[in-house]
Amino acid sequence: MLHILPLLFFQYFTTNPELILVLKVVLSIVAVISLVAVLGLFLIYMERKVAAAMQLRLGPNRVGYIGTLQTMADTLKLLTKEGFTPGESDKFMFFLAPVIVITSAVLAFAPIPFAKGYQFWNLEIGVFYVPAVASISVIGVLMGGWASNNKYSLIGAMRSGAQIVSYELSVGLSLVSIVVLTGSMNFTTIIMSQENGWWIFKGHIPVVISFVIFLIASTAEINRTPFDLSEAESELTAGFHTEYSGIQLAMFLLAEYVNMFVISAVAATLYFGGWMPLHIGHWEAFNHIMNFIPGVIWFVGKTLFVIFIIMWFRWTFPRLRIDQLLNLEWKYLMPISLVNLLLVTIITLMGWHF
Amino acid sequence: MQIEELKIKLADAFPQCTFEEKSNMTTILINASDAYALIKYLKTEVNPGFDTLSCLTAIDWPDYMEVVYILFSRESKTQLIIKSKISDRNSPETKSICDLWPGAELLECEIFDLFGINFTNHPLLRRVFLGEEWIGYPLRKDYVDEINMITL
Amino acid sequence: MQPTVEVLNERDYILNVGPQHPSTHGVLHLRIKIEGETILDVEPVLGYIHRSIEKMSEALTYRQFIQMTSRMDYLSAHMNNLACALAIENALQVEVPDKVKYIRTILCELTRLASHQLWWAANGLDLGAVTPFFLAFRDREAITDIFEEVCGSRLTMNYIVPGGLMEDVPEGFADKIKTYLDTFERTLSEYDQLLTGNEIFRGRNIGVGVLTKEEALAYGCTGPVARASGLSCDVRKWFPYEMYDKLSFEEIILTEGDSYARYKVRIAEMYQSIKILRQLLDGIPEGDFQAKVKKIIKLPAGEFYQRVETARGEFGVYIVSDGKSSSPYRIKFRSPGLSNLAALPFMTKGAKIGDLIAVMASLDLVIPDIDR
Repeated sequence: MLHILPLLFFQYFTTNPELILVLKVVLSIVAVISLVAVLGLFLIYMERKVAAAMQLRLGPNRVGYIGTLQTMADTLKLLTKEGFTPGESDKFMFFLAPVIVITSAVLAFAPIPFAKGYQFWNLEIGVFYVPAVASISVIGVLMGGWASNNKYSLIGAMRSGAQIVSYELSVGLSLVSIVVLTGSMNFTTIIMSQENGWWIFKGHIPVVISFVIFLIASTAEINRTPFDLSEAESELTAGFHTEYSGIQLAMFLLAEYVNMFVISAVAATLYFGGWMPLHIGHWEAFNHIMNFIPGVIWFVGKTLFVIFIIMWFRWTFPRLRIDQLLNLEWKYLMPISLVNLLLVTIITLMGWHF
Repeated sequence: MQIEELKIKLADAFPQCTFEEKSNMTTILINASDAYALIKYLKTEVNPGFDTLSCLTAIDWPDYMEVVYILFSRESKTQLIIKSKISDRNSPETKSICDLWPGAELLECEIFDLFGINFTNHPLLRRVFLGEEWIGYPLRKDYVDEINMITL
Repeated sequence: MQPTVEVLNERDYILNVGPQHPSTHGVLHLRIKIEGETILDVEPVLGYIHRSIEKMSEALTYRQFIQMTSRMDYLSAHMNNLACALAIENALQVEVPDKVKYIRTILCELTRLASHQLWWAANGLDLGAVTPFFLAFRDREAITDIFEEVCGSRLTMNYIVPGGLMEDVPEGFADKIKTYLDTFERTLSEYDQLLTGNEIFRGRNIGVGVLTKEEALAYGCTGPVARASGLSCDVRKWFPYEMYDKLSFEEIILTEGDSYARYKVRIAEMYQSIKILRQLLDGIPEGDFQAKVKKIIKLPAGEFYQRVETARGEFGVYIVSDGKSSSPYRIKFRSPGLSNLAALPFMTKGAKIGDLIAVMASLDLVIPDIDR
């Protein structure tokens, strides 16, 4: 009797739907957390190497093979540092802020398809879900800035609030133009619609404009130069995370890079076809060859390309001033994206796209 | 305008000032009570006026103090040193020239800080470098600080 | 140190920028009163690095105190040394050999280049662009290498002494600078490509911190700050010293008076410095590197004022000698930074916090020069 016990267990586990769900959830959580950790390490390493290349330097090259373990060492250092809390701060909010920021960043991973069928949650309203969840981080930033009891932090947090709330609009409007073209908010459907060519090629100039606006506005949303006013190093020392140290600081930094990945992944999915290989119309032979390259490579390649662009202008441009930042959004990007949406709608209605 | 011409003019307007030629510039010696009027005269009444305040400092002599103004006229390329003499070393006082040159504000604060010369009519006279808790005026010759002072 | 006088009302929202802040370039402390992002008032709190060099100099001999001046405006060390040396030489009526004049002028212009490069680096950094920093430091490194070869020191030189130079220049001095100028002229155009035409950079600087000609004169501003406001004040033209009266170069004067004009003045000055150096390098005459000056210098009684043009503006040395002792009775250094700083509260009233940083970067303040 005893020897069939494992078999029984196995049967029980594989047939009980509740348990399978629990197992799935646990596996997803482990997968996401390890993905986030690896992404953070890799993207910081990449940023340092890209910056070094642009600044005539070598970048990290001592720890590990060409410096690959440098970020690991830095993370270890951050984790072992004392988490310092300022005396007069609001302790509860101070601890909660980085958690909220990192949580919102991780949640945004859910609907992103990494390859065909590799998706945590095939959500019908994926395009709507990602910016919705990602903008929760503004609450964390405001909380952290307020709770730190530091004037620099407060100014940084207030800047960040104004900035994220305004740029949300342009991000949303530029995403809507793709939704209009495909008629769906589901990421998988959007990718499937690009089987005969990516939207950036098929959608004429309006889609290119919407991509550029998305890139600018989302850079502002993830607080990176030239829109890093909330942490403006030379003005506010470190902005909203001035008082944070150790693991809490690591969380803020990690969230920035994870957000950058999410934004780039969304851009890659919507405009460059996600995991969809490069297909050109009816060139069957060419399309067939492209299909041999696995989808995940296409996806990661496109995402890294967008990330590289974002890094590129971080290391080239100076920072804007707060009034210029808001002018840019409300006087230029918003009207342009509204008009652009109209153009995209006309293109869709007339069926002018390829 | 040449220095000679100026001297004649000044002899009329300010008979109490004397001239000295010990350096590469002409020096005008005057009492602190008339210094402000002289400088204002040089800036506004004389043509071309002395429009630039190059340097503002003080000297501590054994029994009196001097505030030194180095003026420069951009139009005639003439330089002047004006030394205003303050006889009372214990509570030196003179009139501020901040209303003529706003840039003099910090310079006068510096002199107040290091020499203890009080500038009346100054918008905000404060010890700009050393702080209010510092005792004594370091650039005076009788200032003693046994710990920090460097001597040969 | 507590700010001593409450200029600003206690109930106001006051932000302490500095003394430890990434873009105050040292220990400048500004108390700014803000309402949201708008600056209502600025009060500089000084003295964090005050060493009372003037008092120290009263206890040192004429040969010794010159090394103090390298520690004031450390980016214009050669020029500060030169001002003191010139003041003493004029008082003693010593004529230095031509070779000395050439080399001093060359060193001064190299210092100006190095200082402007550092300013350019820091200007970009203050506005959030990090890459300029590395480009400028790449170029500045070569100049400090030349300085190190000449006098063994990279920052605080003490090379120019009364009567001439400390040592003769090494072999191949002129050739080395010539090679450097060739490469730097190429890389200087990269500066323009990276920052000058950048739309964000222009937006951050144009119309920010405007100072008119009259205000520049009233606040005693000198150097590139005043020249950007249309005020001609280059000591090299007004009171030529060393070789400057025999050289052909332009005094760069713009009229806008904003941060961008100050930026353009300094960039143009770098081109002028290259032009000056080119004229000098071929004709360095042979000869002694020192005139005959007594070991122990005693100045005749009197007062002596000498100006030179440093990278930041007019630097003046005012020496009062009693004629008896071998150290100055009173010495005063007129620092360009203090006067330029005096205009800062005026220029930033009503501006944004980001503007304050941009204006401060364009003033090119060196704090030990202000505090002395």
